[in-house]
Amino acid sequence: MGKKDIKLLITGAIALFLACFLGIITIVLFAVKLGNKAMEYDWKGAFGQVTEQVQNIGQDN
Amino acid sequence: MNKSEYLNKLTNELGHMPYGDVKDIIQSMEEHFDEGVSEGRSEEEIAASLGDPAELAQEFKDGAKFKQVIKRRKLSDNFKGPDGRSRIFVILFNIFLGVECWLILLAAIFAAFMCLAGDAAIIGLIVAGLITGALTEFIVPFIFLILTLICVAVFLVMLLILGIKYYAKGLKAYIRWNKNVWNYGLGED
Repeated sequence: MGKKDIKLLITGAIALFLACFLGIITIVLFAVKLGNKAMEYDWKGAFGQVTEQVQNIGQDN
Repeated sequence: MNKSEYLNKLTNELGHMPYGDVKDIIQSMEEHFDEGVSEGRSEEEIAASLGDPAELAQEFKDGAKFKQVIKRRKLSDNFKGPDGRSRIFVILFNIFLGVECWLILLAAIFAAFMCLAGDAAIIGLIVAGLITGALTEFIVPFIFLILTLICVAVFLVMLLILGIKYYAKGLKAYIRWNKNVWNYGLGED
């Protein structure tokens, strides 16, 4: 294995390490963003609407 | 042709081979000549038994080892062609193992190439999304995702360069080994 190949191998290893590191940060950032959105979401309203629809179906029958 | 004439001609014919290999071959040849002389043979006789230096050089270029070449020369009078068993071995080995292994490695290189293409496509789509403003809500995570994918692309490029280089090298050596076994049989190094 030549010097050039070893340099290439080291570059690849550093790139792989950075990819893992940045990948974890990306997952955390997406989780935080989506978590915030989930917190802001009007779950009560959405579930209330569904409950109302189900009740309406029950009354029709 | 005496020893020095024969070795000079052989050195010229081996010209394109690596210097270290030529040196080893010439050294082995000198030892072979010395052995023959000590057994009472003349240098001319030994040179004649070795045959044309150009043909000998071609065998070395094809990957034959010194012992194989000498063995073949010693058997030259009653040499009845290559051993059939070695040819059957080469055929069966390639059918059941050799070709499959090389195809699997080729498929792995192809898969790495496809991953790289996919990676580039995803980067392109995210960049397009950011430019058009479709992904403004998740701008920071997507920038980090682009950086991650760029690192993955660098890793894949490295993998492809080394993979293709060593695949070609390995395949060349494997073909040479097959040729060697086909022509001279197994068990001689």
